This record gives sequence, C-alpha cells and structure tokens, in this order.
Amino acid sequence: MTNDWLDIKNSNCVLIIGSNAAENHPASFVWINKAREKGAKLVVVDPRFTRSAAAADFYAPLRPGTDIVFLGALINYAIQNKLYQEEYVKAYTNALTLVHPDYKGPADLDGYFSGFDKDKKTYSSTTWQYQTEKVKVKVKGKDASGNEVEVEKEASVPKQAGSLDDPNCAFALLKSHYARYTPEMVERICGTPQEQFLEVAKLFCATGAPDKSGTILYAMGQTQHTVGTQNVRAMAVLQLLLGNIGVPGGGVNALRGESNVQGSTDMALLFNDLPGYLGLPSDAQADLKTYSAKFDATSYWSNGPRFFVSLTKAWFGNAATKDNDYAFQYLPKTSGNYSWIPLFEAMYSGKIQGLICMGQNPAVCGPNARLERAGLGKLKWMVVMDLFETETASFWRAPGVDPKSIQTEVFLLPAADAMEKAGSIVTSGRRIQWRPKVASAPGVAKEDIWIITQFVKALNELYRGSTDARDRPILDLVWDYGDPPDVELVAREINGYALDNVVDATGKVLVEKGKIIPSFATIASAANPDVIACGAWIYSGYFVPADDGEGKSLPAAKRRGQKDPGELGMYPFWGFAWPANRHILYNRASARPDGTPWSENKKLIWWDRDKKQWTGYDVPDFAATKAPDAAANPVGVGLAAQAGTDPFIMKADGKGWLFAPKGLSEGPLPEHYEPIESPVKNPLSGVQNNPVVKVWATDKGKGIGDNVSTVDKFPIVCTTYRLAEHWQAGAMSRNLPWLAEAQPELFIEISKELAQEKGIRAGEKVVVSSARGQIEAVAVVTIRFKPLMVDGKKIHQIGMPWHFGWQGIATGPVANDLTPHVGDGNTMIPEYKAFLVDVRKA
Amino acid sequence: MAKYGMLIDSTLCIGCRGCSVACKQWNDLPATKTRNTGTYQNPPALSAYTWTNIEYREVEASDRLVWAFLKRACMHCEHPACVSVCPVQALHKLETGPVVYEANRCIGCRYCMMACPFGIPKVDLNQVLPVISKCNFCADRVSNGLPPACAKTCPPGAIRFGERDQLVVEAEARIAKNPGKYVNHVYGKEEVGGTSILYLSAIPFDQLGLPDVGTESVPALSDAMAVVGTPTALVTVAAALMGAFWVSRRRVELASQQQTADLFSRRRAELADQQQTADQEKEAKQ
Amino acid sequence: MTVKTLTKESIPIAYPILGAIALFGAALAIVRLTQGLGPTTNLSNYNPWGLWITFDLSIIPLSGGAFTLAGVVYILNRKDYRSIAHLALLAGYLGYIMAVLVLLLDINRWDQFYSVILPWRWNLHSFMFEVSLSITLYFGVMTLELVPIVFGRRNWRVVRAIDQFVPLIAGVGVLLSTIHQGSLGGLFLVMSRKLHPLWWSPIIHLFFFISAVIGGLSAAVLIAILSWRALHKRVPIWLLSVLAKVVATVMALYLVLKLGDLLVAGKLGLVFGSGVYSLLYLVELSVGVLVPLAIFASRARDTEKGLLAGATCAVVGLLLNRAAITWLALRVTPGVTYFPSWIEISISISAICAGVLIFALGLHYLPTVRASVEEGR
Repeated sequence: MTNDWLDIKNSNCVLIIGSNAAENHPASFVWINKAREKGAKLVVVDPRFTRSAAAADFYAPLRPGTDIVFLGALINYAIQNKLYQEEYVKAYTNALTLVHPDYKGPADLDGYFSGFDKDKKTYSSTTWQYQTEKVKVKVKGKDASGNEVEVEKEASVPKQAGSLDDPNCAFALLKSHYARYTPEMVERICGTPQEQFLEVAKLFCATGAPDKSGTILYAMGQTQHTVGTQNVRAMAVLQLLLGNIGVPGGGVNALRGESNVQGSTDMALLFNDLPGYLGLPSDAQADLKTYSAKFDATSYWSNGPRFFVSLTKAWFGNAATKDNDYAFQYLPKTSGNYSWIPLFEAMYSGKIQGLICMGQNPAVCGPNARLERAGLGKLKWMVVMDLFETETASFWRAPGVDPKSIQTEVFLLPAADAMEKAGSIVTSGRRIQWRPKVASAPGVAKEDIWIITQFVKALNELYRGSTDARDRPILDLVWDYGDPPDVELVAREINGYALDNVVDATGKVLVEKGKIIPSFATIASAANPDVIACGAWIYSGYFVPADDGEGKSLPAAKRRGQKDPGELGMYPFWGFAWPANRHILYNRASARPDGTPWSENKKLIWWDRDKKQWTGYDVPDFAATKAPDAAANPVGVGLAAQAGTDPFIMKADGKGWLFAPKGLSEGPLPEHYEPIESPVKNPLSGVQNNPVVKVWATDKGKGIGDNVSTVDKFPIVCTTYRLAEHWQAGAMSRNLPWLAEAQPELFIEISKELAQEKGIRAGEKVVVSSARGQIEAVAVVTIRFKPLMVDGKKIHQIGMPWHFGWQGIATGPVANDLTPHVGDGNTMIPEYKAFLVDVRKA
Repeated sequence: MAKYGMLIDSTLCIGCRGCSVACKQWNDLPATKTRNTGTYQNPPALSAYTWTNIEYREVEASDRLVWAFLKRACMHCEHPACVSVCPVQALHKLETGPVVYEANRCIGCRYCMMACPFGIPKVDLNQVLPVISKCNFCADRVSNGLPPACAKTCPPGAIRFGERDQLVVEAEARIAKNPGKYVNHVYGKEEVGGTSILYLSAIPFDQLGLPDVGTESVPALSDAMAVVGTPTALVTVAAALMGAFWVSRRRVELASQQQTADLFSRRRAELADQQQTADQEKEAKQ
Repeated sequence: MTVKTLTKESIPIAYPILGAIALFGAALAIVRLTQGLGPTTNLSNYNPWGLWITFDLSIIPLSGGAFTLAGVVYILNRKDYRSIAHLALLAGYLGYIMAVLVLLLDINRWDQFYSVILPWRWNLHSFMFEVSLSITLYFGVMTLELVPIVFGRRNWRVVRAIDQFVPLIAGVGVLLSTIHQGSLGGLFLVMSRKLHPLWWSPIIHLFFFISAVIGGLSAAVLIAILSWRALHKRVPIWLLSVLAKVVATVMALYLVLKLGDLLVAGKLGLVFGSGVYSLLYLVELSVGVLVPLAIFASRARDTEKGLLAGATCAVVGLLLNRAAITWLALRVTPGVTYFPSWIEISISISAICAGVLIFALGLHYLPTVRASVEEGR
C-alpha cells in the first residue's frame, strides 16, 4: 500500500475494485465503516455481487479482465469533466513533460504502441522516452591545485511543455489515449450499464477536489491477469490525476493476501529481486559497475549501489571486499524468466531435479494444476516444509494417481506455525510488527529458521575443503545466528549494524563498531558504507530501540504505543512502517508546492518556516530540511537533482508518472487487451491480447498440456476467488473443523439465468470444464451473478473459490485444474481471474 | 448492576461469520458435518452445537440488489417465555441480561422449545441424554465486564455490546442520523415486551428473517393464569366440593332423620294401632 | 375364541395378542432409551412435541372419568354409581400409568425427572410444573383410591383406614384433577401465535377441563358398557343414561362457551373461513359435541346402542380436539411438518394394548371389581 489500513478511515470515497475486502480482509471494514460514519461512500466494482458489494453504497458489475476499460473510462471522465486536481497534476506529475515526437499510441496504431518487434514480441521503448534539453550549470569545485573554482557542467533534463494543451506533453497523450474509453465503450466491453458506470465515476472522481481524497483498494482481482501490471498502473494514473497520492485517505492500496506476503516480497521472495527491491543482477550486468549503473542517478535510488554492498556485507561479511566487487560474483544472475510458470514448464519438461517447497501448495494453487502436478512427478526429489501434509506433499497419491507411476522422492518436514515462533510480520501498510512465540509447536515441527540453519550446516559440511570457486558462496556465507538460531540476531542484521566504525566525510564517527545503525540514511551518508552490514535497507530502523510514546524504549517493531497525534490513524509509536516509519508514501504531495497543506482537513505534513523543516503527523517521505522552494541541481547526485516540489523521490525526475517511459513491457500507458481466453473479439482495437505475453505451447493438444481455447468450445467466462472462511490453498483452513463446517465443499456461483438454461438447480452437482481439465462442484444459484451484454452478445459468467483439494476435513476438487498457464507481461502472475469454461449438470 | 444488551446493525454486517466461529471457540462447541446445499449458509440452522449462525438472504429490491446477513441467536428477552414455562427453573434471566440454562435441573420436557417465539432452544436428539443448548450471552464473560465473544470479534463492528437502554438510544440515533438508510424501527426495543438483543436493518425485518412477534410479552397471560388463576380455581373448586359434600351429607342426614322420623311415626302408629286393637278386644270381651 | 394357557386354562385369544403387542412396545421402549429420540422418533428441533404428547393429552382427559365419578360417589354420595366408578378408576389408573410411561419415554432427561419434586426448583409460573406436580400427587391419590378396590376383600387395616377418609381423598383427587386437566390446556396459553386461532383461547385451560369431564365420563360410559358385556351381565342403562344426561348438559355449556369465546374475540368468521382448518374444526365440533349432544339429549340415551354411539362420538371428538391442538393446528416451525415414526406409533399402540389387557385381567380376576360389576353396585 502507499497508505495504510487505518488511513482508510480518512477517505471520502472508498473504491473497491478487483478485491472483495469484506470477504478476505474483514478487519478493513472497521476503517471503512469509520469513514462512512463521516459520510464517505463505499463503491464496489466486481463481476459478481460479493459480501463487499452487500455492504456498499453503490455496486457496478464488470466482466472479468476488463478493468483497464473501466479505469481508463474513469480517467477519461476525470479529464473531460475537469475533475482532476490541476495544480497537483501540473506540479507533481510528469503531465507537462514532453514525450518523444515519434511516439505513437494504440489510437493511431490500432492497438500497438510504437516500437513493437513482431517477431521477438517485445517493445523497444526508445519512442516512449522524454524529450530532453541540455542545461548548463555552474558548479563550485576544486582545480588540480586545490583552489576553489567555478566550473560549467552540462546536464540533460526532461523538457517541459508550457501548458497541458501542448499535444506532445504526457498529459495530452494521456488524454487522447483515453478519449476512446467512453461510457459507451464501458457498456460495450465491460458489460456495465452506462448509468451505473457514470454513478461510480461521479462518486469517485469527486475526490479530485483538494479537500477530498479517495482510496482504491485492490487485490488479486486486479493483478491476476495478463494485463495485471497495467491494471495497477491505471489505478495509479487515476489517483495521480485526482491528487490522491501522498494524502490521507488516498493511495493505491493493495490488500495483501497472506499475513506476511508483504514481508516476503520486501525480502525478495521473487526470483528476480534482492531484499529492498534492489533487483537481482542479470547476466548482462557482468560486474558491480555495470549493475550499479542501472540505478537512477537522479533519485533516491542513486544510493542503490551502497545498499547492495551493505547487503553482500551482511551475507558474506569479510569475504565481500572491494577487490572482489563485494562478492558480486557470488550471486546467481538471471538469464531469463524463472518465475512460477516457466519454472513449472521446466519441471514438466524434466529439466529440474529437485524442488524445495516451503509453505507453498502448488498442487492446489498453481495454474493449470494438472500440468503442474505432472511436473512435480518429473522431479527426482522434493522437500516440502509445511504444517500439514498438503496436496503437494501427497501429490504422488492423489485421487486417481497410481503411486507406482511416480518416481519422485518426497520428504515432508513438519514446520512450526506463525504463533509457534518469534519474528516480524509486515502488514499491507508496510507496518512491521514483532511477534513473540505464544505456543509450542507440536511434535517435531520446527521453525523455518531452524530448518534452514540445518541446511546451511549440512551444506557447509558437504562443501568443506572444496577449492571450487562455485562453492565459495556457501562456504563464505555468514551464518552467525547461534545454534539453535536466535531470530533477534537475524533481525539485527536485517536492520543493519556496523562491522567497524562508520564515519562521515569529515571523519566523525556516526555509528560505533558493533552497534546497530539508526536507519538507511546512515548507509546513504557514510563515507565508508562498506563497513555496514544490512540485510534489507528498507527495514533499517525497525529493530532500533525507540520510544513507544509512553516512556518505554524497545526495538521499534516491538512497540505497541497507543498515541496517535493528528488522529489520522498513523499510530507512529506502534511497530515500525518502512521506510523510516513513514506511513503514507510520497507525503510531500499532501502539501502545496509552497509547503502549505492543500486543505485543512487533509493536512499531513507541512513546511515549518521557523524551524526550516518539514513537520506534521507523519515522518516526511522527503529530505526533512529541504525547503519547498529548493531548486533542483541538474548535475547533482541523488535527491540533490530533485527540487523541493518533487515528491516522488524514487523516480528519476521526482514526478509521478502519468506516462511511463520505462519499467513496463507492454506500453507507457495502460491499454485494454482481452484475457488470453476471451468470449469476444477486442472491440477496442485490432490487437486481441497483450502482445508481449508469452503463451506456452508445451504438449498443446494433449490431455495435459498448455491448452488454450476459444469461446465456441467454452462459451462461459469464469473467474476464481477466495472465501472468508478458507484461506489460499486450504491446508490450514480445511483442517480446522469450524471452518470446514462453514464451507464444506467446492461450489460454483452461477446466475439464475444460466442455471435455468442448463437445467441446474441449487445444490445439484455440476461439471465445469475448460481446455485444461474438468471438475465437479455444487451449484450455488444466485441473483448476485448476472449475464452481461458484451458487444451485443449475452455473455454468461460463473465463479468459484479455489481453496479445495483432497486433503483435510473439507475436501474437494482443485479449481486450478481449469486455469490457464499464462501470465502477466511483466510479472508473469498467472491469469487466474478470467478464462473460459463450460458447465453442465453432473 | 448494569443490564446489558447487544445492538446488531445488519447494514454493517459483512457475513464473515467471525461471530459464529468465535462463539464455537469460546464455548468449546464441536463442528458438525455439513454439505453445501446451494448456499453459503452453513451450518444450515441453529442447533445444539451452533449457538449463533449467519443466515444469507438474497433480495431483489426495486432499485438494487440486497444480500442480507442476519446473525441469529437467542434474543435474551426481557420477559423470556422459556424462563416462565420451565417447570424446574432450569432457565433463568440474570440481572445483567443473559438468559442462562442449568443442565442439571432439566427434565427434557422441551416446553421451552415450544414456547420460544423465535424458536431458539435446540437439542441434539441423537444423544441419549441430551441437554437444551442456546446462546448464553457469554454470561461468564459479561459478568466479568467483558463483551461476549461474538461482539469482541466482529471485525466491522456490526455487533455493539453495551447497556441495553443506551443501545436503544444509540440505535434510534443512527436511524435519525441516516434518513432513508434504515427501516424506521429498532427490532427488539418492544418486540415481545423487549429483548436484550436489538437489530437495525435496511430492509423490512421479515425479509431479513426476523418474525413479527408482536409487542406483548409471550408468557404474560400464561404467567397470570398460573399464578392467579390456579389458586383461584383451587379455592373455588375446594369450596364447591366442600359445599357439595356438606349438602349431600345434609341430605343424607335429613333423609335418615326423615327415615327415623318415619320409622318412629310408623312404629307409633303401629303401637297406636296395636293399642287400639287391644282396646277394642278388651271392650268386646266385656 | 380362546386359547389354552400352560395351566390348561382357557383364556381369550385377545390376551396373548395384546400381551405380545405390549411386550413389543416394551422392547421398543428399551431401544428408545438406549438409542435416544433421534433415531427412533421423527421429533426434531423443528417439531419438539409429537405423537406421545398427543397421546398423553388424550389419555389423561379420557381417564377423567375417574375423578368425576369418584366425586359423584364419595362427595355427592351417590353410592349406586360405585360400580361404574370402580371401572373408571381402574381404567383411569391404567390410563395414567400408560401416560406417565410414555411421558418418561418422551422427555430427554428422564434421569433427572426427580427435579419436579424438589421444592426449591418449582416454578410456580409454569403450567408444566403444575401438570407435573399435580399428576405426581394425583397418582398417590389414585393409588389410595384403588387399594380398597384391589385388596378390599382382604379387609386389611390399611384398607379400612383409607375407607374412613375416602371423601377427603376423593376431594383432593377432584382438586388435583381440576388443576392438571386444566393445566394441560394452560400449556398452550403461551403459544398464541403458534396455535390456530380457532383452537387457541385465553380460557383454553377451562375448555380442557370441561372437555375432560365430557370425555372422561363418555369414556367411562363406553368402558362400563364393554365391561358389563364382557362379563355377560345386563348393562345398567338406568345409571348410564343419567350420566349421559349430565354429559349432555356439560356439552351444551361447552358449546356455548366455545362459540361465545370465538364471538367475543371476533373470530367467528374463521369457523368457515379457514380452509382445511375449518373442516377440522367443524368435524371435531360435530362429532365431539353436536352429534353426541343430540343423542344424549334424546331418549336414545336410554338405549345401549344410543349410549355407545354417543359415547364413542364424544371420545373421538376429544381425540380430534387434542390432535388438533398438539399437532394438526399447531405450527411450531413454519413450513416443517411432522408425522410420527413407526416406533412412536407402535409404542403408543402397545401402551393402549397393555392398558386394555391389564384392565381385562383386572375385570376378570380382581374380586372387588368383578363383584361390583356383577352386583351392579
């Protein structure tokens, strides 16, 4: 989240799209209801009328996979009706930045952006770049003799337009791009009746006023599509236009799905990342210098190389030195896409020998689950660490599988539950809370840290005495957490501590040897950052003793202070929000360019003229003493290159990107493409699907394979989702009797109309089939699902929860047997949310 | 001592069933085997092992769709029918509000089940010696100043625990502050003479699943008849019996007196006749 | 038809048949006690009261002849009715025994039934309490009344002692019966929204009491005729027709009260406007009141056939009334109907058979009873 859970109560309009917050994050409704007590409206947009819609002030339906049309139409509505916050947009976004004159968008190229290579199926982003101009800057420096001289330096800066009407500025390109996204188009593509769309637009776009803010809550309904990343981009663009970023009650807020998935992504669970989102080096970055060059020199990311070094110092200690590029070569490099789907494709093709599966249940949660389970069967060995014997651990004896046909050796290591070990958990709002151990694990179940320590010990034993350079990363790994391992020692390392005295440019000691560092600012400002070991720079500060507001001093993440200055729900003394206990990111944008709040009722931080610093109810996400009228130094390094009016400090130009020159594979602006399995031809353009998405074809046409089909064979749109009573792949919740009692079986939700057409009655068993398999489920016939009129055709839709598998108390078929093996163009997150099926009576 | 209640604002309820699970956890109630019969509603109804349950109703109103969630449980009436009718005082209402049950007194007559206007008390007849089961308003928690498990856990704050009279005021304030949002009625304020559990709703209460039970206390008449009528009947009948007995004995006595009198007069007449005959014979001899 | 017993005696074939049915019922009762109500009955959370409640609420008023006639004989001192009273008392006692046995099968906590006699647990507000306590006490009264009948010939001291206090005992019996006959109706005062308005009334307990007098006396007439016939003796029509006249009077009162009650409550329109319930009500009224009233108010009450017909109708009418109130016109859970299981039905039938069998044995083998029937006094 850019904001926080409690901050929702400060909102004037809560838009839930691609999420079912009432179902899956019921506690969020405390804050939503507090907002509504003050008059806020709750708007829900979802293919079906969910438990969130039941609580909403207004509900609008839309076809799964058409969010960009809806959001784009909201953008268009805001622009056409001048509901965007003009001053904010001009000052804080790249609206006025001029874009390459050769840039062309889908409106001109019938669905493509300029720069597409049809053979490689990739875009070159050359024509998406800013126009730049050279500026000359006089800089004070020293000449060879040490005398102070003034030197003239030249820098390239993005060229700005004079007004929003300039046809080449980002705003104009945005405007013309979304001019096609009309309410009529929404009705045509999404199936949402125009009046309903307009009501949503009216309610939400009203938050463009400076004294109002709107928040968008989203989850997998936005991300699990082949255009998932662009879905989120569309929300970000809308919120930037409405001036809703960096203000209380605003934000682009992802409701994370597991209690510590935020922590997991922060600590780089994903294949191509490093803790703190540094990014894993790729094969193309042969050395540290090349890798370091990828970080923007003119944003806070200019400190990226320092954070990288402190990371390798944490991992390899004294084995990481200047001479060996700080162990840069010890790290694996990405030579391709090793995300989930390619991984299982590799498994299925027999390329992977072994798999360690920690707290994951691919047999149930993986797309095209039959193919993925077959992939598991091609492994030589698999280690599963989990609380229960999950479907993955027992895939070799699943119903219908002959164990004799599986050669995989499976090891099941019982793991301790979250309550049975101490450690930190990070909420969606980036708030880190330390939790003590409150129960003992049963039997021989162990905490993950213990299990991994055993692995490290055993590997060290195996590799002892080896002279192979390949083995150095294992042998040089610093693992000094004790035996049994003390998780607080790990926490200290993640926070960062000094391996030696840390000094600044003048030689003053900032942190003594052995002490923990106060924050990542120490790494940024140290003269000798390579004596700092820091496991995740964004967390730095979380384990530093801090005041809890009531006189006690304890590690920040352990605090439970109840004071809330400003009463916005910041609770700065409770836990620690990364970065640096900032609760609302980009909060510089909550003040005008001159440093005063946009509005009295939305004030968050403001410039204190006397003390010459930013002050307020949150830690400024900005240089604390940088004046609002501070000028940018075009040749400056890092934030010096940004002005006092540049809130988006992680971007090279300090601006929020309405138009994204880089970072996304399929275009600088979100454009609607149909899901890979779609019931209609894309009415918006000639490009049916996201052009950069890889569609696998392994064993295409076979019983198990990468099969993708069309609407004539499978005419019904299907989406998958979660229930309040069950959780993810169900190992925990389906083993809990009370939850199994509440939702005992797999069911599909089907409209009255479709049920009547198929002769299906409520409670009857049905068979749902897709190009990838078929399953049986109970029919829940409901008025909450309705067929939609899409491009003149009546389209039926059904949905089902995906929690079920053959283990546990409440069992059922695996819904993901039906989903396709395709993923998003940037993140490869599977398209679980929109595919085609057929339904018949069992 | 304060009298507690709960205000359940069904417009805030999101049907998450946290209340139902918290209740089972606090009261150590087992889970039952269920099937999906085409609805989210499981367990399907209150039972010996399910003391509170969420019921799901889909209502197509003229301008919008409503998915109404009703948390059903014992209403802890101010004038509980179950308390009034139980022959052995196995149910009684605490001063703090909860209507509680003592299993060791129960004879299992199931009169409480028949009397309750809301159909709340349940029993598991598959057990050989089962007891009556129902929500007890977490009497153990309430008497220690803690909210019931359901109120404590409710994530969106749909269940408000507090002093009953204050909750009535709060409920009416919510209706006044949000014209058009709620049905203008606090269910439970006067229903069956008032209940500890109060409801607010956006749709008519019968569509939500709460029956029209009137405002009369359910046991009032039965209570009055038992407490006043029975002694009256006893006294009346006893008096009538004693009167009838006295009358019949009197008649017997009178009849026997009459008999004796008849006997005497017959005997005297006989004797008189005899005397007369003797006299006549004596006269004839002379 | 007779069969030979082990002692080469001839007994009617009905006896072993009734005995077998009764034993079968006893076996089923054991099954009910060991398996619970769930597997053996169709009772449920939606219909907690079923056939056995109907059974109890029918047997008890039909046994009401015992208290009525005890009052006639011992309070009003009409000794000529003694023979009929003895029969009614014996049958009534057996009726109450069967009712209590079936009740113990019906309640889920028969192991805690003693709760009703612990004074600190008494709930004076509850009609169920009144029913439980007064039936329990009435049992004692009936036992005392029966001792002389069963053991009268032996001239024990206790028998003579009881004889001294018989009017008091009978009086207490009438009081207790008034209470519990009425209270059985009072049970339904609390179900004003569940019982159909044609049957519910704020004076339903009064109606139950009056119908117990009607039903009890009618049943007594029926039993008397059948008993005299069984012993091949001349039926004392002159006694029975007086009873029939009394019944007719009470029926007239009952009719007026019932219709008056409907009128006062504004419910008269329901008599014909309630669909199938109207039919049930009218049949009950006709069979239970109008027809027997007509018979008993006429000279037909001086004939055996007339008496039989009238009494049978009255008894059937009472059964219809109780069946309506406890089952057919009682809607406990909207939309969920109840029909008794074969075990419930079998046990009920067995109880009746057991009662009939023991009564027949008593009639033939208890000297006092036999004598009072034969001597007609």
